[in-house]
Amino acid sequence: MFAERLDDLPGKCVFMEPAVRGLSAFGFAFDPFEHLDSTKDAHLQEYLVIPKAVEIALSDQPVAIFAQPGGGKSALRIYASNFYKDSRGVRFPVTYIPETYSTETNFHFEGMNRSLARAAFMYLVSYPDLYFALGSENKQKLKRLLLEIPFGLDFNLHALSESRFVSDLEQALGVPAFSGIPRLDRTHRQLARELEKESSSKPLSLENCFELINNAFGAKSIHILVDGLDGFMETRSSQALTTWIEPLLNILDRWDQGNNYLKFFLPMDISDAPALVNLSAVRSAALIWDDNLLAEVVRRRVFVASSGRFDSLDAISAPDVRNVELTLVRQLGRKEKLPRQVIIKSRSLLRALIVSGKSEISSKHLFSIGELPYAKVL
Amino acid sequence: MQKSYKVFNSAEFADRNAEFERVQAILQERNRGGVIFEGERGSGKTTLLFELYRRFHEQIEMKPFLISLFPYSAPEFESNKNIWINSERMFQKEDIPNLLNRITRYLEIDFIETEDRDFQKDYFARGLAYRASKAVPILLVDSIYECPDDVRTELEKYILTPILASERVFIVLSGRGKRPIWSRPELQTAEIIELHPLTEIFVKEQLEKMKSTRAAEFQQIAELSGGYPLIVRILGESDKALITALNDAIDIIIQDTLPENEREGKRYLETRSQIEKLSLVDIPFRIPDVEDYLYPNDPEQRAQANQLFNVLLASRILRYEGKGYQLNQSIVHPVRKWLALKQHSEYRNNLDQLKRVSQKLQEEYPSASTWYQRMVPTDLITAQH
Repeated sequence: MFAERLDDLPGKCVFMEPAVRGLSAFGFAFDPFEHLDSTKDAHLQEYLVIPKAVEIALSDQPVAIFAQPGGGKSALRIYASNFYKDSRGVRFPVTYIPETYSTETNFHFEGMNRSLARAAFMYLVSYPDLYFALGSENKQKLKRLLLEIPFGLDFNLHALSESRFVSDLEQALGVPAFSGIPRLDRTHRQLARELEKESSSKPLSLENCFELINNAFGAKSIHILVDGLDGFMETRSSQALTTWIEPLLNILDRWDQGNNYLKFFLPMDISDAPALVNLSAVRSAALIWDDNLLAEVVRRRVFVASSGRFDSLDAISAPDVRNVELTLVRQLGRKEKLPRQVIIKSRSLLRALIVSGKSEISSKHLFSIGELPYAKVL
Repeated sequence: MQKSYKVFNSAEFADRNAEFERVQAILQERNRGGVIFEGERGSGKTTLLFELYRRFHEQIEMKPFLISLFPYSAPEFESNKNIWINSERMFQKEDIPNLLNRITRYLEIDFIETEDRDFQKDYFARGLAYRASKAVPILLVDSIYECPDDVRTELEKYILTPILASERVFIVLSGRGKRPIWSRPELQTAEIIELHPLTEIFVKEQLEKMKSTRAAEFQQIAELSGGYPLIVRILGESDKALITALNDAIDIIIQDTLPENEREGKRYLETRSQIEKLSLVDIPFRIPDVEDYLYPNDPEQRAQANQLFNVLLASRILRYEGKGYQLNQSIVHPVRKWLALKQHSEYRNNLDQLKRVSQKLQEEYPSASTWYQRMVPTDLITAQH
């Protein structure tokens, strides 16, 4: 039966059984439901569904976005970072994820200094000629800013001189480049030499760093994306979390005036914390999902993974099976209605299809999705 | 020689008032945004984009720049600096640095110069993003869906995305067939304006503006062309009998989209014959639904059908929608009209074969039998009787 139907594909058509070819037998170029961790998802920018209410995450103002675990906070943060990066630094993104916990007054600001140094370094790597055109004062200040870079400036300058590809530095620092330059050449080695030669004294203060990014790079605004607080919530109360980020809440207004915006990606549990609710300077929104939006999460992934050839699992279903995505969403319990859950559900459906050796999704597949280890099959 | 239907002439432009008003309203309502005109082959997307460009060009506060990705000409804009057009060849990825150079100079943008040509496009793109200008840049790109994926992604990366970093900017695109996968939210959520065929009154207007000797036959031309401006133009320019002119129009509308090795000779005749058959199928279809209809009694029918579908998909005259494939309506409409006018035995055979296939599928999928009943066009059967 399935051999007869195998090349009923919306794109290029092939004769091979699904059990052997996995998802490619159904016209997918890759598995759109592979990654639950959005930091590892190379296609996030292409298929992330952003509910209207949280589009403010991309605006020029301080913002707090709340969501349940698995509700898409980190995905939105990564999306926002890439969105700003694509502006070539006109809107300059800095991602700040606290590495440890400390109640020291300057803990967050020191962490942000390191994040900013990392981003500034990658900006120079992206546009090395920009540095050569700067005045001596800005060059000196940049060196001072870069002193805060993780692993030390010497280590990073050595990496800049010795590496061949920008991706080597991206991986080491965990920050994407701002331009599309793939390889490092003699201009970068010259940049490393000049930065090494530049004299430096003590590091710059955070607010002086902001000013420098504006003056030297021409940034019109700086967007600091604060994420990774969910893990902290597991061990401490929501009150403790609010207290922990209080130094940042206190500075929102002043930074806002200089077009430096803090954007928090926070657990839903603290959305009603008075310290946040009473804060007029920050606009807040919650990532809330309804059935249609969750169905769209699946459809967008199908569209991208099939290289745009089809935009619904209906395309690989029997003629009498319709609205596969909505059916999957409606099978979720009330508290399960989150992107992570519908992705898992879709993944299980495709797994069941592959294991069955059939060439199209039938009602039987749709209503009896098992929980077998999907990754092994693929 | 340049084909007349690949030359823009603003004097011949008809209708599209609703589309102009929509674009004007968007420009007034918002600071920035994207608009995409979608339409079938021959629905007038390219001429609409050129006409928009002409109108923007006359407004001082606008800075339009038009990029034509496929061979086309517009003699009236020959001396303009804010246009990329080539009547001989398609736009290529290698053209991007030169295009960026032209856009940045037109928008009077400062950029850092570097020796490496590949690096330079990044600096141009950075310059575009940092642009400070009082006039509103409007980038118009024609046929962006149809261009090769590598060209489109480079255009998005180096031109559309940096220009969208500005406070005030508009992007107007046109495309046919499969929607591309954009990574920029302004493009993912761009306003889609579907371009419908012209109504009879505007078919008349187009023929009159063309100074066609056939203007008096506008009703018949509107009926045969379905109101698709490209077909109206071909019928209006032809001095042959209408049925022959319609046949020519069908050839033009199909041939232009096919790969070069498929455009002539036996291969083309076979493709056209199968397109005629597929035009009769009244529902979105899957390959197994139609392979026996297209290639009855052929042991290689599956492979043949796959090959045909791949050609039609690549040509974007076929696309997947919902539960199956559909041919462009601008092909289905004239083909059905032409077949009905011709009324030869092959046409009747095709309809009979389609009825048999429909019956077989209803038996195979009883729960989808209503769907497969609709496979055969009832209006054509009635006409046949």
